[in-house]
Amino acid sequence: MGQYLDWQVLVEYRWLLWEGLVLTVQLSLISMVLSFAIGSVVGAGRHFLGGTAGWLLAAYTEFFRNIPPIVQFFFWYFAVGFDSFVGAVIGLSVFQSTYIAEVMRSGLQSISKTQIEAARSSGLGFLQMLSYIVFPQAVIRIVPALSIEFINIIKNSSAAMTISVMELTFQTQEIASRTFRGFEAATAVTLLYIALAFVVVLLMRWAERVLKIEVRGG
Amino acid sequence: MIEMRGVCKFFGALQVLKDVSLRVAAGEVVVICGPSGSGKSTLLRCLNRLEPVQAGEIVVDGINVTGDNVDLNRLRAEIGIVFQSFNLYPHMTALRNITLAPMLVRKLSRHEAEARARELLAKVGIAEKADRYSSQLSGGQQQRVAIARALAMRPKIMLFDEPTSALDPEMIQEVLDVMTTLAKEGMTMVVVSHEMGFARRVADRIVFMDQGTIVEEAPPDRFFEYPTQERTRKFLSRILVHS
Ligand SMILES: Nc1ncnc2c1ncn2[C@@H]1O[C@H](COP(=O)(O)OP(=O)(O)O)[C@@H](O)[C@H]1O
Ligand SMILES: [Mg+2]
Repeated sequence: MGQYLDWQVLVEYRWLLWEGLVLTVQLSLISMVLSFAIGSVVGAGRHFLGGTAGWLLAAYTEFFRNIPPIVQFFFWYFAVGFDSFVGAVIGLSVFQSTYIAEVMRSGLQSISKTQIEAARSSGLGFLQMLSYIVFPQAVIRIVPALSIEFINIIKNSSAAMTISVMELTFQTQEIASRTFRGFEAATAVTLLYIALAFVVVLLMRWAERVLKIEVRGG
Repeated sequence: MIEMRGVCKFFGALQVLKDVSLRVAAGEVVVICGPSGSGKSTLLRCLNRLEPVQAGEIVVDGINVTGDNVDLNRLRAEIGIVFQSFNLYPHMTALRNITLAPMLVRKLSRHEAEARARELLAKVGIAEKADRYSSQLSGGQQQRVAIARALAMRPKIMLFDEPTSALDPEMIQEVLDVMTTLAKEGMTMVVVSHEMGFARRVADRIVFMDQGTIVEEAPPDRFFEYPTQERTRKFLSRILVHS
């Protein structure tokens, strides 16, 4: 155990890092898609529905938002007995969907009622109005807030190591414990998470630009 | 074409329409005027059931609007409505604004819908703006796109809610011209407007509303020359000074 830094271990264990990275990306991507889908439905439901349905969706949001993701992982993995990856996907998607639901709701609230009236009075049905008029305009406005939630998904995916998903943080600890090179491993994992966040930011900027061009013609 | 009988409309405790009855025959052009807050917009919005009513009956083109089992989307497809604030879809080009409902509701092919849209854009005098977004159009152009959008459904009735009130003076005429053409072609129109010159030239009948009731209705000549109600005279003297 010398005092010098040995970056060589990262090269030696690059496959572990790579496997961890791949799993983190898979876990995050699936959770992004699912939490966006669930969050959109819940957010739209809370915006448009009153009564019991609205109340139930509000309860869903409050409940799953206030339980730490790690506890939710434990629930799906140990209590329900899902496979660890499935448990992590569900836990992460449900947890983050509550935040995305709130983001989506604020986006929907920012769409003027007159847009809905114009659509409805031309004979469009509710779902047509939603998918052609309201959603596209809302999504453009919430892209920056969505990027933050997507980055949070990547960050929170690290907690999946506690139910033995061998994602990036798990593999880093593995390297650290095999080589006692904790500093090098920690540096590598930090850089990789930053890189992932950076990719999300770039992709979302690009998405925003494309959507805006669609909206305003440049 | 339109028949309202004893219509009452409340917003909470506030009664906005009080026992309103109105008939509009096919091909007729009716202009509704009256002070702000008198219920003109609400009346229009009840006709396509953007607002439900609490009492009375409304029949539009044989469809009982106030009935329980109205096919709202079918009803609304027959009634075009043009709003004061245009309400174009900002994320779509002028062309797409116009083709959307015909494709989704009337099930036209994209090809048919676009042909119809271009024809209508030419008719309202802005054929070259098909690919513009609303942020790239002047108010008058936006309102003409909105009229084309409503016409693209081939509605039997057109409703206009103060279509020129949000426009700069130099753009008002281009919109009124389009509406005049439409009226001459025999469209059934109900127009809320304070453009009294337009009303005088184009309307078959003028309806004056105040505080949720129809105070007076008459053909333009009689309406302007011999109003029978004191409230109408007061309103006219105020509004004619300005225009
Ligand atoms: N959605 C609504 N909720 C409550 N009050 C309303 C609503 N819409 C209109 N009103 C009220 O109804 C009255 C008539 O409004 P409106 O039909 O817009 O009048 P006008 O178009 O003649 O100016 C006004 O007092 C207005 O404040
Ligand atoms: Mg009004």
